[in-house]
Amino acid sequence: MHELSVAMSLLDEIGEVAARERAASVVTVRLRVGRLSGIARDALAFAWDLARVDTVASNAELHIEDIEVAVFCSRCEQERAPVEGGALICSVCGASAPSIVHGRELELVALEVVS
Amino acid sequence: MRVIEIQQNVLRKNDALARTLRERFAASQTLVVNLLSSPGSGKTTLLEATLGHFARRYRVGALVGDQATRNDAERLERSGAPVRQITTAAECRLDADMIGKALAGWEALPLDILFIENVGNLICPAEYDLGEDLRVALTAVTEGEDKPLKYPLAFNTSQVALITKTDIAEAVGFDREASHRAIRGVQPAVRIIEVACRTGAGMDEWYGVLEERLAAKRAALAPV
Repeated sequence: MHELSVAMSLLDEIGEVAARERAASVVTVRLRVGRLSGIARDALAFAWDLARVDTVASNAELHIEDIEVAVFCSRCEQERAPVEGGALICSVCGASAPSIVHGRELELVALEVVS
Repeated sequence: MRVIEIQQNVLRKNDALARTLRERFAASQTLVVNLLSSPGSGKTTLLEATLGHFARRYRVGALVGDQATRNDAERLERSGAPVRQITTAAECRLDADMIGKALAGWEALPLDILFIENVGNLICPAEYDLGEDLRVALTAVTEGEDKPLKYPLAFNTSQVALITKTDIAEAVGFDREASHRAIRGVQPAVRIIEVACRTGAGMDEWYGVLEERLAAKRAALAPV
């Protein structure tokens, strides 16, 4: 539900990068969004369309890569998928694995620009 | 056309502001407690009792986030403790910038303990660091035992989980073991405290945790 403010923060960031890189306009924006980030993909796409008007990214396409949740299992000593159903428990050995490695991402990965 | 690689957290400005707040709260030796829950889990009731309990011995105050209305702030003001309302309008969470602005010019500062009642929502507030020392997630016995599994991040990032309204647990068929299992399932290190604000059950344990944390923060900051 804070997708609009996320879209606006994103556009601020894009504006700074575009200015620094002397880009005339932004064509593509690549974003990584984790399943636990609380961001709904459709709501973000909707907010993006509202927020990009009259910015350097006004015609930019938003590409969102969904990132699945991964935890670090200290018993297996490696990154694992958690069990189904929400608990942060290793799906391989069943140990508790509260250390989240992936799934919280909300990252601006790259821009394609024309100078 | 060219590609610019960035790899940057979109919320990094919030993280940077939260670090600034944390330094400020270290300087004033203020324990900051961020309360997260769904609407209706009992954050305001918990705070009414907590502010009342500490008001005579410590300088305590609260920032209260709500999308609209001052009702919660007005309830808390009756405890006699200083309270500031943050009306977030469309926003479903507090962020570090809102906290910084709400503290500006507040005559109640410096405080020993600052409570922040976040907007009632278990999703969005979990990603916003407010510079707090202690994050507390509340879940009421009326909510169903699987809330932590549905909203794992809020409980995963908390140090204390409060199960509230335990005085009516039996009437609503609350499954205590399932609730603890769900909380531990997302964060085994969390301290679980069961409370009933109406009867006072469990409240001493909650107050004790706050006292311990305040003492620990002061000890850590004390000149050697």
